Amino acid sequence: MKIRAWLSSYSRQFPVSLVYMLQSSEYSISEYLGWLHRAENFRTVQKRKRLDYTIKAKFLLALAWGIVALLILMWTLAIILLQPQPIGVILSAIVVVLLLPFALPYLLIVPLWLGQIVIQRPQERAIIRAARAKIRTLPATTIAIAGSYGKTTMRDILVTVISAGKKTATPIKNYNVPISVGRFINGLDADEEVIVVELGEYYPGDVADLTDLVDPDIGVITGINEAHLSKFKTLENTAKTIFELADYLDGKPLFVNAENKLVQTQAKQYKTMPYSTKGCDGWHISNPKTSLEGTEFIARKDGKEIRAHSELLGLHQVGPLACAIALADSLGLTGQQIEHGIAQIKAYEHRMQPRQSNGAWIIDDTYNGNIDGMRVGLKFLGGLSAKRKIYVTPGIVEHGHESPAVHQRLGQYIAQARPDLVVLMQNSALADIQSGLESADFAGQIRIETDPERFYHNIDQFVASGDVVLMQNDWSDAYA
Amino acid sequence: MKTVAVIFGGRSTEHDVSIVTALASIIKPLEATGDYQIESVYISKDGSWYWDERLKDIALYRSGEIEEFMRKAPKIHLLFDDGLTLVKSSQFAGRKMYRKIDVVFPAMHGTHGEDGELMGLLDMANIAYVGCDMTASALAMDKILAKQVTAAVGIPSTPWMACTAREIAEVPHEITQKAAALRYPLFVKPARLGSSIGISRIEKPDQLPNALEVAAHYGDRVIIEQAVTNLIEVTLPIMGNTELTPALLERPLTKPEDFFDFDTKYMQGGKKGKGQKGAQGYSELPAELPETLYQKAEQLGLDVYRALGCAGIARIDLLIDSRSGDVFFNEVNPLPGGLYAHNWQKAGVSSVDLVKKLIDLAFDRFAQQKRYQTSFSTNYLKQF
Repeated sequence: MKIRAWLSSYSRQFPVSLVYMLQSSEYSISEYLGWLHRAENFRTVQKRKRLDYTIKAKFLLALAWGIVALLILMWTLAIILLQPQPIGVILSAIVVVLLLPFALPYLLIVPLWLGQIVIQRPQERAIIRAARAKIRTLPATTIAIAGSYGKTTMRDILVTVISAGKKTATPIKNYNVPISVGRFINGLDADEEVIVVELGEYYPGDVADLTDLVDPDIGVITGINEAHLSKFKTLENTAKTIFELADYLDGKPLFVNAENKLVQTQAKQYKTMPYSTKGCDGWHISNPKTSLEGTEFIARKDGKEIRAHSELLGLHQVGPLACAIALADSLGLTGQQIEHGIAQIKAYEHRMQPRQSNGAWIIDDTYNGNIDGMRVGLKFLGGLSAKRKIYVTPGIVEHGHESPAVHQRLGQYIAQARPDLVVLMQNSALADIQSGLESADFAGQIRIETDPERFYHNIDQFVASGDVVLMQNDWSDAYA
Repeated sequence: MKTVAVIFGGRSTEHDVSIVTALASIIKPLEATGDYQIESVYISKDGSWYWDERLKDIALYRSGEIEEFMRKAPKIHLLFDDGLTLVKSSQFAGRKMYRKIDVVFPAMHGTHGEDGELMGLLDMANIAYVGCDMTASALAMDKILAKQVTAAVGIPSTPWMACTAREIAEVPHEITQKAAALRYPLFVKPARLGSSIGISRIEKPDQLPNALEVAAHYGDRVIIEQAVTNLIEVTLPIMGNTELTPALLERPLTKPEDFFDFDTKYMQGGKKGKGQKGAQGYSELPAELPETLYQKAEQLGLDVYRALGCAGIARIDLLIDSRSGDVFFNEVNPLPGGLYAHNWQKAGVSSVDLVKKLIDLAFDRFAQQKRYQTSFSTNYLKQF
């Protein structure tokens, strides 16, 4: 623990900060400990969000204060026992005071760990068992989506399009771990026609577990890259984990992103239906166009024609939309239903989501945290005409040892988009992004923000009519 | 990092407007840049000066807590030390707080601020400041002087006449007689007030005495102007010292008799009693005019700006007769409310870029002025 962090732990905010860190880490002990070792000031941990006072959070907070009270009680007892020896009292007081910042963060996770082992995990296993049994009795067609990136976008596209003709269900938000997927399945009405589930991959074996849970009929693999490399260690591990979906499907329909090299390589061992900006499963795409108004193209197969227009931005959306057309067609939706479904697709929150401010276009892509997604977003920015183009990013997290190389690539992609102004944040990714910009001879302006919160809250002050701003990724408080 | 003092409030009928201009259009974008240290200096309605971080929060004024604040906060001193330093007592152990200012951003609309008085003080302090200097401000704020100066360089205004409060009180019939040479409808205005306070539009001679009395309530000089028929009213914000950058001609969308009075402009919206925004939310931006007429109006605005010696920023109001295509100078606002940021944004200048540019212009002008010799040694005193 650094000195500044140690001193800040003597504030009343310390227990609240610890519980906030646990909550934000979704009670993952390893992530909490990682954040604990990185923290520089426990007074200012809550930047982007505040502690949500759930029952669990209140219990942990009460426990934290209880531990503090216990330590003080111990010291009081020491005074009573050691009374004739004042030096002993003083020494014990010093020990208690010095120990507190080191002891409390670790003592707090003991009951959490015990609770996870004794209560939480058995409960979760029961929920998952019940869900596994239930889904195998449901008549619905289940579609599972795996990939390092683009899963949520693909899920939302498929759900919106297929909903135009079939009763479709999907977990809320982007819940993609066994317990949340299990709860979702247990809550189904059993009259759904299609179920779409995203398979989160955090560690090797995750996709296999989830695939076994949901027993999919159709799979989609959106792409493989360095996202979560800090956990997977190598791209080979990442690819192997994601293709656990293909292993389970064993010949059942599997759509794969043909524009991702790692997917292309891995997919050679399987029978797959590739999708790309050229089309999917016999559907051929022509006249693809994209602008700030949305993306449109024509898809044709065997005399059928679909004129697609969606509010999604960027030509990289054409491939997933082509996949959605092919899938929806195979499920029996009519061309009209598919066109209507595509037209209903809105830009998803914080994913290439455009809005206007003071006459400027601001594209909020702050949930995009992978290099391939950022590359295509930057390509979109590069293709736009604007009075002034502004690009904002803090960089990307969780790329482990690949982080410097990834950020240098990011710098190069940024330079290729030729923005007039690049706004970067003062953090660990800065130097590498700047190096990438320099290597690509970036000639525009660079602004380094020392207070990202201030910048994001005041973005409207920086823009005017004719500007286009692309904001990609945002770091949570765990990495701020 | 440069230290910027934003001075706002003041003993003026536009006190509250000044607070909004300072907080929303100046302090907010300056702080967003992170490039400046911003000191907020508030002048209360009784003329006392205060300096405090809390003065940047609009809630202080909206809630009325400003009164409590002023009761407890120490008034500040100004130290003229070949520049300007703010001095405040900490009220503990006789300690004082000092802050040397690099540039002042005046945000005081109306009397004692926008009319040049504050600028004169800042000239004496020998410090850079944003916007029009004392002379240009004084000329701009006095509608009579502004028309006299611009007329001298051939800039047209609609026919007008001037009178004093004394004349209104003592010889009103003479004024009525002189006004007969003007064609009704007429506008009767205090000569040295902004934000449309005290202005009357009159259709008939019997309305004139009342209008004069209202105008004279706000100042000792009154101007009477002939209205323009087939009126298109436009306004043009301009930025610059020698090289000028116009924003966009903006046309308020009102009927001629529904001109923007203070309440309408700032409190209710462009249509009386309706809408939530001020007048700036109800205008045609840019004004939809034929290209030649647009260019003519824009050029006239630039000519007025130069004729009055404006610098930094100002807003020129013009009247267009849509039938004849004549463009007339109406009045100048040397400190546009909210800096007219909405217009600059539409013209492609962000709020941050606007305030940064204005500060750069202030430093440029200050550097230019430093080149002039203003004092020298003489033997004059030796003869006494």
